[in-house]
Amino acid sequence: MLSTSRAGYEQRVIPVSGLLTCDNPKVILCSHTIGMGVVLAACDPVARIAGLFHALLPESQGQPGHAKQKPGMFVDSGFEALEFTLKNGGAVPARLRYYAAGGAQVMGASSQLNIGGRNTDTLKKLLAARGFTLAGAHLGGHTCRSFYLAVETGEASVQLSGQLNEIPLCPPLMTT
Amino acid sequence: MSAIDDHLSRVKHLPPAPRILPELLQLLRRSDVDADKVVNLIRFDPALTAGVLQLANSAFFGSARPADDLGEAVTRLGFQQVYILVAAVSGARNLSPAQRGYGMACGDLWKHSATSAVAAQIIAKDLGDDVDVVFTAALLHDIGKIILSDTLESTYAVIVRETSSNCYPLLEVERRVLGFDHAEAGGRLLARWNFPANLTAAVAHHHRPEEAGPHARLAAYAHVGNLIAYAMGQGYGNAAYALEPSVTAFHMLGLNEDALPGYMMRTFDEMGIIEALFRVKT
Repeated sequence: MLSTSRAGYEQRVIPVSGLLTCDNPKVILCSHTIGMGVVLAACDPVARIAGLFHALLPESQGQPGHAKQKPGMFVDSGFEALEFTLKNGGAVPARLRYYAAGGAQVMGASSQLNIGGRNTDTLKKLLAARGFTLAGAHLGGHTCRSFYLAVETGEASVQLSGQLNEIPLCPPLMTT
Repeated sequence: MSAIDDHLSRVKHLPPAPRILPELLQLLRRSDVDADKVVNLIRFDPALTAGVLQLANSAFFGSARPADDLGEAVTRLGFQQVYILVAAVSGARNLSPAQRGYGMACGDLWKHSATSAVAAQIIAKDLGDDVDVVFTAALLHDIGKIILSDTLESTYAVIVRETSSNCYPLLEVERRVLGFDHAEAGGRLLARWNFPANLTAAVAHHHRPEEAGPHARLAAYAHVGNLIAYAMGQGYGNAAYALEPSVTAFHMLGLNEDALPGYMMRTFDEMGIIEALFRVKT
């Protein structure tokens, strides 16, 4: 269980529009109340560095100020910033494993209000354009989620709102 | 006696009324606002007095000379800032505790309400409406949840199943379980507290603004503010399928749904300032 506290491990919560990378193996990165927003996380199992951002909106077009100050606010600028920061921290892009969660439709089916669907579409397009695939994902649906990623093992999971059990997105990637 | 009144009479501890809000709103409606009367309303409440002084002396309103007198602090901040602060502090008292029946941790409902209020206020400013009234309506729109939460705690599993698996909006599940919903309960609570009819109606009809009669526009603000707060990830609790957006609310305000992302960003920016000022727990 990544959602419960583990002795000797610290949970670092990334808020909406936040972005964080971390190379401390004793850290579990997490983000909560992922509704229409989308979380993209990545980890390099060899360099043992991981990061994630929690985007609110799909595209930063026309919002250069916000994209510069808070790149994690948008899927596109968050994606670039996450890749850049992880590379600077020693990650090798080819080794990065990506996980995604969120993009729920928590309102009616109107296309403009389906920000969750637009966030997911943008994310999938960006991944496809770079030839990346997701190692694990929990996207869409109508439920709010929390996401967890253990830096040490690359283990990722989600927890649905109102549920106690976690859904593993992938098994541990490395031995400790 | 209606089902809501019956429920209200059975609630052991009704929350204390934020009585100062309607009084302060009425004072500020006058063209010749009397600063002494504003100060007199606030001065007997230590938390509000401390909040106004702290805000007036914060870096945001920075001045070389600290304001140690409530009158000076009110003058420095301006009546509108004072009103927003008073509304925020009064609202926080009622809205901060955990609402377990809704799967909301301590501070969740407050954050959702404050985000809704800020979003609605930004739109009202753009459209030239009364920002204080709009802020208050959006801030208190979910006040009914604080009196239904205890009852719903025993049916938590039903609510989670109905909202998550069957995708029923929370409002419908409440009605099925209780016979009424949190919006109606909130409206009735404000009426008991002698809040004016416009705020009572806006809260009671924030999910269906078109039913709020002459106060439909105010209810539409509460609706859109609520929607933006959800869009920003605030206040889901266990209500996964949270809300049926009202197209009418957008029409009433003359808003295009395309405007939503822009308002989300501006709300995000303003909330950052508010959280820093009030040290709201995130």
